[in-house]
Amino acid sequence: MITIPQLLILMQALPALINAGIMVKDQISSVIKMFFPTMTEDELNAIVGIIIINAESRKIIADRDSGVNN
Amino acid sequence: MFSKIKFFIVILIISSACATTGLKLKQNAILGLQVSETSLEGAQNIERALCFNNPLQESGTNCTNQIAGLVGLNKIINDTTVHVQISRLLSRAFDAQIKAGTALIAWRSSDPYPTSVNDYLKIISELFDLVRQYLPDQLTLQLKIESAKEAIVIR
Repeated sequence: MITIPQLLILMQALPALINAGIMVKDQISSVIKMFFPTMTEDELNAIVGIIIINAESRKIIADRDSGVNN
Repeated sequence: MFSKIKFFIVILIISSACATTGLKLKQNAILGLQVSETSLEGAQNIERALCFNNPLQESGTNCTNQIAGLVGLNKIINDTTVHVQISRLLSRAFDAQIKAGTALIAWRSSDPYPTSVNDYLKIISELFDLVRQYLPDQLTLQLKIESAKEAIVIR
């Protein structure tokens, strides 16, 4: 995790870094992700897929125990 | 020149942060549902271990474990046993999880929060009340259900 003082220093240096061709948009995006760590939509959808598969199999067990689908 | 670039960078960071914050809300909601699902699985495992001698092999409305009667799973309420009542609520809860998960995939942070998540919470609360009333000594089971409830993030 980047600290606020580090971010401020980076902000100061960014124009020079971009002018020199050292830092590009993807790298800026990486810096932002360090500050605000998030998953992508695809990663989140994959997690929901796992939740649904697990819940479906658990529902089948619960239905058997409650007398449904015996 | 440098001040224009600085301004551009600041705008870029702010706009990215806003987009990221929206995704972060969705992430918190989905990860909360995942933790809740795992806790509810744990609750189901505990209840089945109390009900059946061999929970991996057995299923059904009749408990085979002698402990079941001692803890209160065989007690009759509304013409069925507590075990069946718990299983019915678990079935509804897992069904609500499926609906909540499906709704969260399409959900955007600017949209109203999916009602299916609230529906899921209501069922969990109902399950918790039932277990607390009829299985008051089963604190681990109660804790698992409470964890399933607490994990849900409501904006």
